[in-house]
This record gives sequence, C-alpha cells and structure tokens, in this order.
Amino acid sequence: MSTLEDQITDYLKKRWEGHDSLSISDLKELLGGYSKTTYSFELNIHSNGEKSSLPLIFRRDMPKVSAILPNSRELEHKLLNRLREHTSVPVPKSYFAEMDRSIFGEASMFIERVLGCTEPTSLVKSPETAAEAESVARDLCEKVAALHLADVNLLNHDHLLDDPRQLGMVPDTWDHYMDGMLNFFINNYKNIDFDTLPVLYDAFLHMRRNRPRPLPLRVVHGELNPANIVFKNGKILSIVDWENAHLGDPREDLGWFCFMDAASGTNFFNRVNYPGGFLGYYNHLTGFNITLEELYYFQIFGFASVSATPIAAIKRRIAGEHSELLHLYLLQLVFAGCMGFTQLLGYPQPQAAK
Amino acid sequence: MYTKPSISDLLRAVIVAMNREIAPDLSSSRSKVALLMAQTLLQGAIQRLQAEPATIAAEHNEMTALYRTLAQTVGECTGEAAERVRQRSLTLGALPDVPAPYPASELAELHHKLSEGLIGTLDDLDGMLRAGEARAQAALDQVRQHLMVRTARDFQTQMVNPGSLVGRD
Repeated sequence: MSTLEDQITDYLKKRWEGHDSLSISDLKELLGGYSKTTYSFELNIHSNGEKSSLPLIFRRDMPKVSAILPNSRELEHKLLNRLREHTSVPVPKSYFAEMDRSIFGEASMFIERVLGCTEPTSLVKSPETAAEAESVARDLCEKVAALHLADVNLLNHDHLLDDPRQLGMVPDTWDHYMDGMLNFFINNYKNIDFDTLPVLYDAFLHMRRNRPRPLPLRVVHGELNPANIVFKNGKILSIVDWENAHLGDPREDLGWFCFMDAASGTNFFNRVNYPGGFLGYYNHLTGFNITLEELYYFQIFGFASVSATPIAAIKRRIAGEHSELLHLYLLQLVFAGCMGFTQLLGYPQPQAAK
Repeated sequence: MYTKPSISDLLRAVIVAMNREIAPDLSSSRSKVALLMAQTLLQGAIQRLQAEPATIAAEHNEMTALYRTLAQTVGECTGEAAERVRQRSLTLGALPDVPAPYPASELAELHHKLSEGLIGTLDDLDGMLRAGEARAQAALDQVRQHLMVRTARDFQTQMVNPGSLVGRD
C-alpha cells in the first residue's frame, strides 16, 4: 500500500505542468484545523536545469460520518482563485481540487502555503506585541470590509455560492435568505439535539421573532475566526479556510468572528484603535452602520450557522456512529455558546431566595 | 445539566482515543505499559461510577444491621470487648438506613423527559408571542431564568480552560 507521500508525489507528477522531475519533502500533518486533515510539504521542482521549491498545503476532507463541515473542495478551489482575481482580499492560490475519493480516500485540494504566523494568541501573551496585535486587527478589519464590498456578480456569477451547503437556500433577496436560514435552524434542531438544548432552541425562535434590518447579501467567509488568518509584521498575509463561504449577510462574519475572538482569547475585536473599535472601523469602511444590537443578533446567527453541522456530527458521535475524540472536545464550544447566548438574549438573573 | 454524553461515555471515548491516536505513536515499552495502566484505571472508573452510589448505600445499611446482629450474638458475654460490641450496636447500629439512590441512568431519563418538555414549551410561548399575546413574555422570562441557572452551572462544571482551544494556542 502506497504512503500518502507517494500518492501526493504521483498525483503532482501527472498534474503539475512544466517540470523535468518533481519530488516532495517535509510532509507533516498540521494541527489546529478541526474540520479537515491538513498537511504541509515542500514541492521540489527541477525544470530546465533549475531547481525550485514551493511550500504547499494538502487539505483533505474527513469521512462523511464524522465530517464537521461537509462541503466541496472544488467550490473552495474556484472561490479562492476568484477572490485572488477580483478582490484585494489575500488568500492562498489553489492549484488543484480532486473530487475523486478513490485518489486520496476523500476529496482533497492543493493550495499555496503562505509563510507567516498562524498562532494569533502569540500576539496577546505579552504587552510587547500589543502594537502588532492592533495592527493585525486593523488590517484584518480592512480585508473583511474589502470582502464584503466585493462585487457579488464577479464572485458568484454562476450562483456557485447561493447554497453551497445544500441547506435549501434561495438567496434571491435578503428576506428569502433569512427565511431559509431561520427555518433551517429550527428544523435542523432534531439533527443536533445530542441532549436537550433549550437555550439553542430558544435562540433560534428568538431570531425568527426579532429580525434585524436588511443589508445587501454579500460573499461571506462563513467561518471567520482568529485561527483562520496568517500574519507577519502586523499585516494579514492571508485569510484561509474558505470552505464555509456562501452568499449571506455580512454581519454573519462579524458575529462569528466576535464570538470566536472571545472564545480564543485573542480579543482582536477590541484592539482596533478607532472610535467603536473593530466594529466602528468596519462601519467607517463599509458604510453599513452595524449596531451593537445587530452584532449581538449575528453572534447568535453566526454560531447557529457555523455550528449546525458540527453539532450534528457531535450527535452522531454520541450515538456511536463514529468514534472521533475531537467531537466530544467540541462540546466545550457548545457549553461556551449556550453561556454566551444567555447573555446575548438578556436572560434574567435568578432572584435571590426570600 | 447535560446528561448526554454521560461521564462513562466520555471516559470510554478517552480509552478509544488512546488506542487510536496515542498508542500507534508510542515507542518505548514503558510508555506502552503506562498507557495500558491508564486505560485500566479509566475502565475501573467507569465500573465504579456505575456501581458506587447504590453499593455504598447498600453497604451502609448492611453494616448497621451487622452491628445490631453482633450485639445479639455476643449476648450477655462479659468483658470489656463484649461491652464495646454491644455499645456499637447502640451507636453505629442505631444509625437510620439511608435510602437507595435513584439509579443514575433512570434519573437522567426523567431529567431528559422534563427537559424535552421545555422545547415544546418554548415552541408554545413563541407561538403565543407571535400571535401578540404579551403575557407569554413573562412566562418566557421564567423559563429563561431557570435556563440561566442551569447554563451557568453547566459552564462552571463542564468548561475547562475557557478562552482556549487545544491545537490553536
């Protein structure tokens, strides 16, 4: 049986154009990405007597039964290259998407490995990096604003991003999109209730009763969080992991980012030196004038959207359909999410005993 | 409180993960033996969790009965030792029986049934609110107050290292 290194080498020898010989080295698994199996390696190319080396990432789906974010590598491949072509948002170049599961066991893709720091918590461990943390937060804010101002017609001319998660969305208007998502959250409860989750269910019903004002639908990252950035010297070099991107409300990205920023301890949201912090600066750049109340709403919405399939995978784990440890660890995010919801929804504090 | 996964489910998951994720990478005999010992201890913890509450209660009651029986058996024997045996029947043997604890799995099922009722209640209150019945808000607040307490309790008892995600630090 061939090793993964052999499989990757054979694959790239057939697909990579313009080389006399080709090899790979330093193949190693990267930790921290929960939704895909990810490896880094160097692609060594010999061409016309010249040697060159390219840092690459091999990104492979998890088996369907344990997949926490089942989605298409082909879609991610196309989107990455559209973002590079049509926006100023820095993303890695995608070389190949391989949807034939017989090649690597699951659908996979090869993308550029951007060389920079991928540990945002390294910025918040010492006062000496406070200035760089502020700079990263500001730059990230600018990049997110650029994404949300990007021309949807250029990125989604073929409606690729209308319903990539196959939730039954018809995002021809903001109202239809919200109808679809809110009904999905409520109807999907039966797929996530590994135990009774009344706080989550209450939150879903609350969102349906209390819709915010509409905003233009835009291409959203869909899982924007501090772990999905690569930075160096205070600048964002790349935003990665676009697997959950879709046409949606721009506030989704801000809400989920705000939640994960707190869960990760990075606190980027409060680091931008601008009136109103990250949100104030984002509003200045986009003109969307998002309020704190809307941000709270979309923290819940973002959590509901991003966590829908992971919590369903947790339920399958508890039901014994697979045996991954990760899914039980991710219960920690459910506990944190429920606690956060009680605050965002303004749950009344218990009265003192009389 | 969350009743699923149970504590036993979580410990079993760790045992499985040790086999899948850790054992293949262990190279020294010492670490392999240590892993097997750790798995044995976890399996023992699972078995103890399931048996402990009922067993302790039963043994408590068996011992109080034993002290009373011993006093009858030594009867009117003389000497300080016999007197101490009789005295124990009056102190330790006089302790009231403790009730048998509710079986954990049955208690969890009852708890789950009540919690499931909250989902239906939330649905009903949502329907009333959407129909313009303002009094449903007070009822919803009462449900939320209950959920606030138990969510805070869950957070306190089940969260480990809030603000940190393993592998991403």
